[in-house]
Amino acid sequence: MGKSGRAPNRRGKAPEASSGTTDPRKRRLIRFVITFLGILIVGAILYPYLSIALDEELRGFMAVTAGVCGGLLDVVSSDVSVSDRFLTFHGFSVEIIEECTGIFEMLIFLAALMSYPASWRSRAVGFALGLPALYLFNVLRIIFLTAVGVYYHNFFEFMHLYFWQATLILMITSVWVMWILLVVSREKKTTAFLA
Amino acid sequence: MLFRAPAQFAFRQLGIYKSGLMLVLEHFTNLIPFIALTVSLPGIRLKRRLVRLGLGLAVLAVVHFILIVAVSAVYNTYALSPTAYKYMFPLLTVNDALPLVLWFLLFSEEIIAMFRVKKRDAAVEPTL
Repeated sequence: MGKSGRAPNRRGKAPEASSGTTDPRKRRLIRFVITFLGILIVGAILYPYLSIALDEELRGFMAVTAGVCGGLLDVVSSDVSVSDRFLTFHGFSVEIIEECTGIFEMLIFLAALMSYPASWRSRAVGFALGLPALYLFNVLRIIFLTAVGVYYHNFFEFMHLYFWQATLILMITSVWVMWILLVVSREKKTTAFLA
Repeated sequence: MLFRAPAQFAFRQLGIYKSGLMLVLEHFTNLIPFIALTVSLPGIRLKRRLVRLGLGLAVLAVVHFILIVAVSAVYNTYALSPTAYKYMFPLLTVNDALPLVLWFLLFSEEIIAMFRVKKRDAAVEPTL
């Protein structure tokens, strides 16, 4: 016992006071951000090379996306046609290009998925459920813009330019946050990250 | 359309006439998701929210300026070629992801509180 007559701390020392720079949560958070940007930059540098190497497959993916959009629109209207990457709805045609497939959103989502501390099992669940969710969001986005082109043609360019980009990161963030809340937050490892 | 006129004016004043502005204009809309993420995050006092919002928007504005200069340099050198695409794509992708990064950095405490799951197990009691 010490001079004060009190029993020593069971851990043997006083807990370290947390400050802005030594707070382990802040350090882990900064590490997450740096890892996220690092993975994203590497992925973004590699992507143009991959897109050239896999040009045929990418074109096929665009055609499939046009087909999926056309199939969903066919449920509500018979005046729909799909030809390769071109979708026509009530006489209004759109071309599905690389950006329309949601592949950029998936790249950002994968970077966030890989840099957030979680088990590989959780990441696999995120991969298996998150990528299709982003693809579905993207298909709905295309259908929405096509409908705008048909019924509010004067607003199409504006919506195509601003709505598309503005919803990009919101789509990714919502899927990523859902993954954290529903899958990752149940892990002890994540609790340690947040502790 | 919202950004084009003031941006073109600003660049003319700076002596930049041949810019890649039109190539990056649509990517300036990343302000909107940052605002949406900031407004929707619960449990923040108004003053803190507004200060952090202003800071984040200022950072995004600076990044946009850097983006225009960088894309203009690439465009003037390589025009719209596959080589230009290889340089522009990483810049634009990082710009698009920046609202998420800024949101996480500026509101880290609130986001961590939102994600934290209360556990009854004493072994995972958070350290102070």
